[in-house]
Amino acid sequence: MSRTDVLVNAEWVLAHASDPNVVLIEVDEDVSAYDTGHIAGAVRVDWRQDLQDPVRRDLVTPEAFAALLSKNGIGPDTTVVLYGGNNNWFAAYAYWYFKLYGHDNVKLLDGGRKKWELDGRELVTEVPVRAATDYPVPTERVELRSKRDEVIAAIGKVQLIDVRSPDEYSGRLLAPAHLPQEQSQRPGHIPTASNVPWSKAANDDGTFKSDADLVELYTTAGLTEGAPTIAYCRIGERSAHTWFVLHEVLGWDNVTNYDGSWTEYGSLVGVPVQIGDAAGSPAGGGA
Amino acid sequence: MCGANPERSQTGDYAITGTVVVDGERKAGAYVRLLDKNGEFVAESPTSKGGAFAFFVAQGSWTVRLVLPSGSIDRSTVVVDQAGSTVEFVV
Repeated sequence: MSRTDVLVNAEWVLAHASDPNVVLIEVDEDVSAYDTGHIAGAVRVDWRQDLQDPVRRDLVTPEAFAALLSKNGIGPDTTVVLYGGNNNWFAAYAYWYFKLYGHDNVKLLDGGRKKWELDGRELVTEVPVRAATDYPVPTERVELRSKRDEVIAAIGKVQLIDVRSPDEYSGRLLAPAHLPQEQSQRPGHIPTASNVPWSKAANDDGTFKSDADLVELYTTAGLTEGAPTIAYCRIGERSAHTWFVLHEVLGWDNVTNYDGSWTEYGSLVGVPVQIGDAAGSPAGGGA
Repeated sequence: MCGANPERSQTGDYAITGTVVVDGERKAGAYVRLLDKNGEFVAESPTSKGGAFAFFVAQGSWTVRLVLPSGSIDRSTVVVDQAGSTVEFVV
């Protein structure tokens, strides 16, 4: 994978506007943004309703994912282009999700909805109607996802990268500063995790920084290409953004997203937690 | 293992709030960023239907940046107590 395989720009989107094999999907943190206007031809995926199991905390089942794609007229060979607000947080999450469920023909619109708007490009309210398909039920690629026990076993052994803001990492905040402060039982971070906020990988307009800048960012933070790496944040969407950078843009192997992230880890009983700005030792502490 | 965090009680309790007015009207969907005292990105949020934004912060110095197609406008603010602080952008 490299940047040109996984990122497209506005010109690419406009050039493929009438291509029946290309489907644009908007995925936003604010799910109502689509209704106020979206890129012509784009369908909406609601990250809460469509991408979260309605009962337990988990991804939707492979069957439900196949039904979602079928409903939106997406086939196994369809090129899916994802974009969204908030610097593509949830679009990157959806990208990881599509890869996890084996849909490899997926791309991200660089800069997402914000750059599209800042460039003064057209948004429409017309909702496209696509003929339904019969998408085959996929198999989860478990190698792209980390779960709780794997993360606990990784402390002090595997590169852990916490992509939340420094105040969340240190335990001074429990959630991003623009969101209500709630969720996990304890503040802090997983001991030994380095802190490279997702925002350092993006420019003000939401586009990704150059490959050279990105490599410098992560190597300066002490990460080594090729070594097993687990990214996490609060609920797994910002870490999907960093997973996208490391695994898809830079092509690093062995990178996973821990989608349980801090809302799970910070509520576990009996696991080590580190408070403060230092990565800490495997035993945690720092209060 | 994870005891009381003395800083936590005073963090997230304060807010920087404000509005964005463009050409005399409150602007929905404008991009507003919060930067810390070192100029590092903290958060970003589009304004509400009423052109409003809010960030939950600690006491201290902050910069609120309005990102526009024509460039950015920065406003510095200091949060000292529970009254928080208000930042208005009129463009």
